Amino acid sequence: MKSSFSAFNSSAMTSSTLVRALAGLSALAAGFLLLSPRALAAPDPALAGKKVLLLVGEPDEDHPSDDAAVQAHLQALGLTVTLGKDEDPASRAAGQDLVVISGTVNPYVVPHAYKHAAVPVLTWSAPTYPTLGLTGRLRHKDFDIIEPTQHFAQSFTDLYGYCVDPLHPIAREAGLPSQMFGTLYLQPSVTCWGRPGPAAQVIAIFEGDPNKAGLFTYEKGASLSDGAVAPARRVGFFLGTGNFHLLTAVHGPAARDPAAQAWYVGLKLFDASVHWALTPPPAPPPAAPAALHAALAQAAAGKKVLFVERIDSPEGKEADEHNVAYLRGLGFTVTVVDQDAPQGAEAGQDLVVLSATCSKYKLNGKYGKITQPIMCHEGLAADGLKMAGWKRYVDYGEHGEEKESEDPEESYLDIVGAWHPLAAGFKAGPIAFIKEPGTLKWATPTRGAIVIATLPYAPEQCAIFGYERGSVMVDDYVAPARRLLFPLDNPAFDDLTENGLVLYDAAVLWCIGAPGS
Amino acid sequence: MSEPASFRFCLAVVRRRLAVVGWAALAASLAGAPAPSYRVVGHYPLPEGACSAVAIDAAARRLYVGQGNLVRVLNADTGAVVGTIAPAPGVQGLELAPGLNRGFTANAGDDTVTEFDLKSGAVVQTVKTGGKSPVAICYDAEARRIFVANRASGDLSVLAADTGLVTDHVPLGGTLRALVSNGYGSLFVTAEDLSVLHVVDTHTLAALGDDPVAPGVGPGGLAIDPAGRRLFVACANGLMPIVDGDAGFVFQVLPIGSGSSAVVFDRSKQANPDGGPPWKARILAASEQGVLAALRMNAFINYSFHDRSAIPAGARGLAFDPKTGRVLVALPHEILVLGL
Repeated sequence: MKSSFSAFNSSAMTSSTLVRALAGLSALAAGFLLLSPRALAAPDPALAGKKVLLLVGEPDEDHPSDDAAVQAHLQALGLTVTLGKDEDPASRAAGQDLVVISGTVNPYVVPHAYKHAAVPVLTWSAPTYPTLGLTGRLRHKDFDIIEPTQHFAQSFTDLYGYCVDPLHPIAREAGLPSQMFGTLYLQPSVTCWGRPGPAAQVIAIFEGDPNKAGLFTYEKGASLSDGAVAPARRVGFFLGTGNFHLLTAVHGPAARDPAAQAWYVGLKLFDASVHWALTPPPAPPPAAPAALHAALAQAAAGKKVLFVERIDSPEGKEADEHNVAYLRGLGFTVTVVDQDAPQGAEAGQDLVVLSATCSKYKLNGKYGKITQPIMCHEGLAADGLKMAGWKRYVDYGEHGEEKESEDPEESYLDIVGAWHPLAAGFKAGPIAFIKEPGTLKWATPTRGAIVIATLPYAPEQCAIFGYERGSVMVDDYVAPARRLLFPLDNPAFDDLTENGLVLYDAAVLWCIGAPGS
Repeated sequence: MSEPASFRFCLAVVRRRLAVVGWAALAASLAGAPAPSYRVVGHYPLPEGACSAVAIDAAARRLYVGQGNLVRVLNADTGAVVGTIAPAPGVQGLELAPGLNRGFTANAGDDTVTEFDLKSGAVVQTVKTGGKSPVAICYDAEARRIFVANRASGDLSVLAADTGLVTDHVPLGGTLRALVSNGYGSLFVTAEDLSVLHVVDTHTLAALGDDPVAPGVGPGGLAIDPAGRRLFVACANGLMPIVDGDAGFVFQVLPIGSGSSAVVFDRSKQANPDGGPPWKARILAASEQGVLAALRMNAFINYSFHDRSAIPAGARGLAFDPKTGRVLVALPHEILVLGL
């Protein structure tokens, strides 16, 4: 019986068909070696001895499989590959270094337990994304499969990807800058995309649509789309069933051309994805507020902060004063300027803080292009800083604002980027951020941002997020220095909980840290 | 150039599997056998001596056949021998340059190139290539150069078209077998033992890099579609990788029959043997084992296997006659004439 995902060669596999399936796979393996134009890769010493479980589906004569090509390629890289079938229990992942789930699997029979496997998973089975918690469950909205027969023009469109996070290790290894690139060779074939949760790191998108992620990852400890925590690294890749051999690569004279190298990166992205998945993730940040505060105080010594506020603000004046005092107490030299002051005072500063007492209107676009790190407390100013799009209450806004917001006042944030130092060691999930429910700012950054916290029940409304220097912001603007949204309504600094203040310490420390740290 | 042991192992696996599967796939593709692309319409018997190369001057209706130590000139329509060009010791490659009124042979027997007058058949000069065992030759009108692939020494000899004299040598490496020019700056040379295409700049003569032809092994015959920028590589393991000449990327592989040694690309409008609209183009590959495979161009990015025909074993060269649409196959003792 074929599933509705027959395009992905996903007929249900029963024990009675197992022998036939494996025999078919062998034939396909040999068949691939006959017909698949993919040069064998050179062994990678870093991968030698690593074990991979490759889950595949039943061969389908209507949809050619490249599973054998994938297997051969992984083996050529030096990996030890064990073939498994799609209905194999997740216990098969035990002892493996990586689970690869092919697009040929029947998503209906892939055990949900793989979601909890503490082993990295790399997959290009888009219908399995929800099973793994990588995306939501709605086809066409949360994920989709682009088949030439159904989406002919779109399948051509998806021969072109766009890199939105050139700083991601996968993009870096593949040599992919922020640009359009060739995903697959010039033959329309099956591709897929997903719309992962805010904690995912999206490397490449299709059609210029940030909600169509062709290549994305979740770091270990990041919150998955459904709120569960990724037990190990996860990668979603844009392949279909039988087009691994079409992943772009370049040889001969063209390989000398840097532009060609950066264009034909499909196979390099695949290899880099394998490398990244197999690389041990960074140690999670420790939950040690005192140590964090001490580290910040140590880092603050000799550093300068420009604090931009509305001087004598009718609301939030004391909070600004306390904020400044706190920074000075840490050891920063703080200069306070009015929102209306001409730009220029940021010269020589190590950090610019934009208080929520600032009027977005009066800031009139200042500071957006400065080369100093910025910590912005005002979500409404996110567009002017190119941290979010232009539509108020679509791209940025506030919860609890009595005139404009339909959302209630809020005091909690939802930590989704627990893996990152900006999360200060807090576990994923809700955390009391301010003492009493109040106005909380949000914005929806590009996929180039690192999202740490969202507003509760609003995963696209991000409260704490940062752009690393060099990452891609709105309008393809490249961040000249670190940019961070840390939401504080006018009086909210005084309302921060202890946990909120720990997050504040982590935010400041990240802003003044060396890019990449 | 040595290969890592694991790489050699993988290649060995590939070769073994290809040997098993290649003919099975070919047979499967024949299961619903379409109408054959060609039928035998004539034989041009030749005097003693095995044919080693064939080329046609379609406008002059002359067929040139390398045979032993000479070149026989035949009437392309009747097969009658109308002349002989000698000496051409161990001739392996033939190239005609009607625009220059010149023909050239690559003579493996004494490592020379024979230059002859196309109208008179007279030998103009014979020059040493400076390499070992020249087996293929190609005239690039745009660069005004003649390139000779030296099989044993793994290098190219470059002759000036105006003088016929050797001006340069380009070391490439490997066992060279065939070469084609795209007419706008690049020369592609097969290296059988390396399973790559060497790419050479026809102006600077710089070796620009290699295009791998995997999973093809043992590339021999080579043809080009200059407009489509596609290279068709007949490989000894029965595969024809189709290479995007710009990116050096093998984007399709079709089964043709093992031991394929000659290939031609025909872009002229050809009838469809199955009926229907004419094909955009076709590619023909002949193997020494006696298979003529016909591939169909569906689009610049898509080709399909159409059929294969049994021909006598020992094919060493192919020529396409654009005037008649016929294919001329160089067999050991005759030219086999195939027509639609």
